[in-house]
Amino acid sequence: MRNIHILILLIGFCPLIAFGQESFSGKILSAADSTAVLSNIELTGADGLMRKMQTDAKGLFLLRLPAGAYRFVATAVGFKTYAVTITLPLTRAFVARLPPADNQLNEVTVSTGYQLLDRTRATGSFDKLDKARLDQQVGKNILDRLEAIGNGLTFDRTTSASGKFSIRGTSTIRGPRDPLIVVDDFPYAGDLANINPEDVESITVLKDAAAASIWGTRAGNGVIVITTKRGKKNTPLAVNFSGSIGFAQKPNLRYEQRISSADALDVEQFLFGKGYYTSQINSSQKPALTPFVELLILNAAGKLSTADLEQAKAGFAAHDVYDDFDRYIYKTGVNQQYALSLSGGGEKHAWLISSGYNHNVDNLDGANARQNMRLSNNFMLLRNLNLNTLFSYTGGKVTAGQPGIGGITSTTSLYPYAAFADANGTPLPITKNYRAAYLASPAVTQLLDWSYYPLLDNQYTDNVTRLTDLMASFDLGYKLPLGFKLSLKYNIEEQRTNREILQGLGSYYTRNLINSFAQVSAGGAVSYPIPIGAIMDRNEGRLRSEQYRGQLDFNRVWPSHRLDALVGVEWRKAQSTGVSGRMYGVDTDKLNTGSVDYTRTFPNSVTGSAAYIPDGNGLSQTANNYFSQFVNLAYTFKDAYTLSASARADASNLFGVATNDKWKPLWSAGLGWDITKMPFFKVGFIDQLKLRSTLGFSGNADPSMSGVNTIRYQVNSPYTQTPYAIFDKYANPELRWETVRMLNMGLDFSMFKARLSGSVEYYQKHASDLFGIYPIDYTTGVGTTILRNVAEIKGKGLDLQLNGLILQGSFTWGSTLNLSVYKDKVAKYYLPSVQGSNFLQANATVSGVEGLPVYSIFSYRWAGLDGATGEPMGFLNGQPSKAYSTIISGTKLTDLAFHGSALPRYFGNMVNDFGFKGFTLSVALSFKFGYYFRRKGIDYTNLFANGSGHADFGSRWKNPGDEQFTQVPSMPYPLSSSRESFYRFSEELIDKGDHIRIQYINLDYAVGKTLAKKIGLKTLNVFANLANVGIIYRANKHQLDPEYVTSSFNLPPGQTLAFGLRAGF
Amino acid sequence: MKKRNIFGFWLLLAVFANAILGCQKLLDEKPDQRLVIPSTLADFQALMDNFGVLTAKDLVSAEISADDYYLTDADLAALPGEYERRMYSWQKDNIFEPGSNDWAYLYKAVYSCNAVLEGLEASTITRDTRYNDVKGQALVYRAKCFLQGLGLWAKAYQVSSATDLGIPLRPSADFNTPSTRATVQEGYQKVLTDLKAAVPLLPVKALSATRPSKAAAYGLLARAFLYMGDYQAAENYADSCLRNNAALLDYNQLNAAAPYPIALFNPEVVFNTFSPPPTILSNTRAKMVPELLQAYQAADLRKQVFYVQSGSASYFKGTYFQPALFFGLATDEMYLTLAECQVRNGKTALGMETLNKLLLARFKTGTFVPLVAGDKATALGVVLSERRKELVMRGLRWMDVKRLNAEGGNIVLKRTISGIDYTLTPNDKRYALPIPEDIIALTGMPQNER
Repeated sequence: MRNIHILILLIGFCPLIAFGQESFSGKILSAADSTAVLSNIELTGADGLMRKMQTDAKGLFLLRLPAGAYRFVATAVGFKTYAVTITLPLTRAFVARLPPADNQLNEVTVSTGYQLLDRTRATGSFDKLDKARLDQQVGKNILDRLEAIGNGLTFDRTTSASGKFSIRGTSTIRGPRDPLIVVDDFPYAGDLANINPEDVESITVLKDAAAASIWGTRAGNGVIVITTKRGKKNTPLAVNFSGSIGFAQKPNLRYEQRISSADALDVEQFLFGKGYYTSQINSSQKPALTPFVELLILNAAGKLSTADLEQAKAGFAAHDVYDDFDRYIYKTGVNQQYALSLSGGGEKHAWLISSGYNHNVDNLDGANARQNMRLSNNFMLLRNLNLNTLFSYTGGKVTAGQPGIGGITSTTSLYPYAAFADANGTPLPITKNYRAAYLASPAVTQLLDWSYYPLLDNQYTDNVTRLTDLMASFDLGYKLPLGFKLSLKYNIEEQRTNREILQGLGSYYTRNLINSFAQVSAGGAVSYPIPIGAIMDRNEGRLRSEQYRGQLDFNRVWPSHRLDALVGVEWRKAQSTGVSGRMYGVDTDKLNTGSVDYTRTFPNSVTGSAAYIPDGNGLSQTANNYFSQFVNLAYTFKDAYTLSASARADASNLFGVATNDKWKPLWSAGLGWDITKMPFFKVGFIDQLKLRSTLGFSGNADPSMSGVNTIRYQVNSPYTQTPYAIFDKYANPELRWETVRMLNMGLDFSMFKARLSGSVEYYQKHASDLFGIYPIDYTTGVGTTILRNVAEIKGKGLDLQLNGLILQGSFTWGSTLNLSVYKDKVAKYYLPSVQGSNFLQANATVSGVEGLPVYSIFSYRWAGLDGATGEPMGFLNGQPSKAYSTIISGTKLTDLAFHGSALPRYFGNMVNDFGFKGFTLSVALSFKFGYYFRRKGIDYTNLFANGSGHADFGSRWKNPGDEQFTQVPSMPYPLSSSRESFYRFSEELIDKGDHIRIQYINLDYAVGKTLAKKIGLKTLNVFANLANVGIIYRANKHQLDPEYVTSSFNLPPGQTLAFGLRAGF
Repeated sequence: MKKRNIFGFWLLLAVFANAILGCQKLLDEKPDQRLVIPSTLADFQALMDNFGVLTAKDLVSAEISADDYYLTDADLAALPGEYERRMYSWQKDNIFEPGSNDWAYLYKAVYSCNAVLEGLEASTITRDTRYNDVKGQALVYRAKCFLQGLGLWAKAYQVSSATDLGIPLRPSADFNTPSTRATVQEGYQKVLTDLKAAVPLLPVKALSATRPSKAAAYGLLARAFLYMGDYQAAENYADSCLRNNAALLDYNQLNAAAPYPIALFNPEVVFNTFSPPPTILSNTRAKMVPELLQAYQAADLRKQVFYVQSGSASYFKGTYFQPALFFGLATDEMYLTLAECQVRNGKTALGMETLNKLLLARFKTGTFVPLVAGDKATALGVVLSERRKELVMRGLRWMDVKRLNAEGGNIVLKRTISGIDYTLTPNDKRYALPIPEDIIALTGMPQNER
């Protein structure tokens, strides 16, 4: 309103100001949200002269011109060109509303968490994912969606079984490898699962050092900036609802290819014949033996006929415990998600209130419920004073489900023919800790029942975790003259978790513990040092983080210069405290608890060996504090050249380090050149072409860095009843910070009216002084390895993003391809040992061989199986050999077979969107190529010890000649650990990891506007989504998913089919 | 306009000033409340009470290599680990699992002692009795470690010990100093020096037997001198140890039928260190050799207290630290050392008297007939036989065989595995176990002769 008044005033005074010239003033606004747009204006009159000028930051301009007709053209980055013919003098105030451009390079602005950067002036490497793209996936955790659509990032399931984000490969060997997650300008301290995906507006991934250097030492692995939705000024009330329900299929329990029951029984019989079980049978500790071994004992003692034995064996052989898991334990999971939001805004106030509810029931019947509430406000307190507030609440409740595969065990593992229920489905007990015959003896039967029913046990256990997270943030911005802006930000978050595990008297755990401590007097009377009743464990955790930021921004535009700068300080405190406790003898009805004596030992009721009653009490307190200073500068010349620089110094509360060593200064610099803005540029079909380059440093302080020995107090020693302490870190004063230098060069382009756009980026990484594990003479007493700055890594990569609108019209086809190439190698590693066995580890570890990838896969060369014995053969001095100990101790690094990188060198994803009359079908593929993995084979040590083995056992070498068609070694007896170790790390078990999978398929239907209106809606979308669709190509021939091979019981998730709708009122 | 600028400037300055002031406190906060830079006496005591490293890691290889037990072929074949099997048959190499073996446990404990000794030395803690106590504990634990290490990786103490290579005697906690092997003589001298230095520092009675007392230092000195063949000194120190604690358990009072008849921290225990039994020595596998079992007289309670019979075999259950193996010091060892030294030093009758004091507590009440020996040689034979019968699975047999053979004991160790005989002739090079191969590769130190 005020501006219009000014305009009227200006127009009114025009004749007084200039004679013969008409004053032409106006305002340029965004058509989308009525905000001012800084634009370039061209006016061409009948004289053919073109007058150029630029609006100020408020979008205002004022010109004096002769009266007449003019062609008015306004251009602004991110908007369509606006052209109109006007005749001066005007009778009304002139306001131009620029419509947004169709398909910009993703988006106009990107958020670094400190500022909103105009994409056209940004020099760093950003990947922005908007709401529409993120909404093509369903799921509780927003970050899970990045895997299928992000550029330059992968989900690394090689070095970590649970998966870890990896942005542009490894920058550190030992340091933290997680990227920094920033939510609404502040690093997020709580659990990311607290964030409701429906509240997320966009996600920006900062990939290079310049983009990330503003975040300092914690940004060495990249930064993921999440921006949540806010209300917009001058918008009417909008109500949005979304809801979906998904069904998660059971995982394929046979994925792991385990030994068959029949084979396992044969092995038990074989071992029994060899006397393998004799020491267990004779043991005073009565260790459990499997049902078949018990029958073999009876048979050997003449108490069971061989015919009966064979019949029982056949019965066992026909049963597979994974059928029981499938039938009785695993079920289809159901995921529900609902979200409702209201937003609106007036001249001086914008608001958004949203709520969400998630309820997921997983394949093991574990329930996870979450409620979200969020209120954001933007108040224009004064003309120059703006306040943003945000409050959010998250409440969660997680109820543990059934134990699944790996959770139900007999002794250490589970025999493959275990039966959880009889033919009628009536639950059966399985052998647990002690022999069945012993449990039936009178000495034991007077105690609590000691049997274990896997299917019933869970109903006596309540395992509930409750979470409450409260967050508030305030952002006070004060606009000063001359383009300065001062802002103060404060964020406080408190997350409380409360875990309660109540193991009732019916649960095996409780009965077992009470029985183990039971004391039988000489007269036969039984006393229970652990009172009879439930056992309750409680864990309470509190996380409180406070962050403050003071920042001075300067943004000013001159006709051909522009300066954007900011300087600030920031500090952060995050404190976690924990309390844990245990109560025995809990009576949940009357809330009685029992007491126990922790100070003395009791002889175990079975073995007689003395033990203390386990005490679950403990306290913990940790603090994670940072203090940072930062400055950031960007200068743009003629809208075409941009020079950027940033510097930051961080300090954290490292322990045992002098204050000066706690600081790490980092900097970056960048250049951008928008070629399309150059006067000489006349290529019509190119909308935009921009070159940019940055160079920057990031760093990492390993928390192991310490100038002095530090120790950590433990609980009391049972022998002295005094606290004892262990060494936490050994004085390692030589450690320096890791430094990573990254050079990034990028080209952004958009052509054919943005039908084809994208970016190509090339980067080089040079990480020096990396911490590495350095084998040390353990005579020194500090273990077999220490941490040293031993390594230098060089990496280079290429990130390509292509967005194409391949077909337009009634049938549309859009495609986005993200393709990354990343190659790294160890440039320097101070290796004290070239012993081959040091480079062979079960899980991918840093191999540290100069010139080879950081994570390399090596193996012992394979010379096939010995035709006479079926034993595996390696090479010793170039000759096939079975001298396994000597192969292991004598094989040098150079004698090992080198396969390649353990991490993919080519990876990416591709999303295709097909549209027809409101229908959009999206198919997302992801792929990883150029890497290797070590698959599991038969491990006879495990097989003998606990009956678990690989299905390869069935195709092992049995008779001479078998070596023609099998490479699986024969069954040895006695075991040779060096033979097992040789085979486990042999060339034979290496496979290529290359694969392509379909991440998701989404079908969305946007109900036509007229139809929507009929049912009272502004918009309505319904969708169906299929996630975890599966692998469509794999290089290995063992039906393995190379992303699920690291650890046991890590099964690929089953497909999830979801249906949902989004409606706007 | 100007005023506002100035306001902004002051506000900014205030923010910065506040930040700088708050910064130091923020950065000095401990990342984990349990973390401490050891500086107080309580810290050093807490490190010495770290039982996992210091108390519970005696070197079990000594007992695996010794001859009081055997395994059936089936049980041996059923062992999951190859290293124990190789050690059992006295192989000349690859008997220690790389990285995780007795050598590693030994030197981890030594590191703790060194760090405590250096920390104490550099600290400003008042040098009072409590300070002395902690320092004495570190000296004794380090000496215990070196003495056990010498028992494994060095030849017996003899004339050639001045040049025979022993074990590295790491003098400090600095892990940048390379490890080199000292001579056997230097090794024993180090043990003696540390223990002698510890005696005046330590209390007569410690809070727990896991903490060294004066008696513990005396007892270890007696053990060390016995190994060195200095029987006079050994006699003196065994006597000093017994003067502090001469208690004996009357085995008549024990419930021999119990799974573990002997209680933890019983009165005989002088210095309590132990080790969980390795797989090969578990009481379901390690069967006691008949030669030992048959040596007990009928009225000797040890046969019931120490062993449980299952089938035709007997298993050991007489540990002083159930269910682990007790390798610490107890008064029974001191009686036997005293008796042996008295006999060797020509006090035959006195020696037999000392021995009889012990045996009285081991025999059924009223049945014990005191032993007599006419001459020194007979007496020594009786004492040594009783030593073997008493100190079963205490980590001492290996060193006893070694030292006795060095003076002509002619004890031949023999095992039969799958029909093949393995023998260890007296003074075989293999009495000094091979240093773990990975240590040799990493340090370049000379391997024991094979």
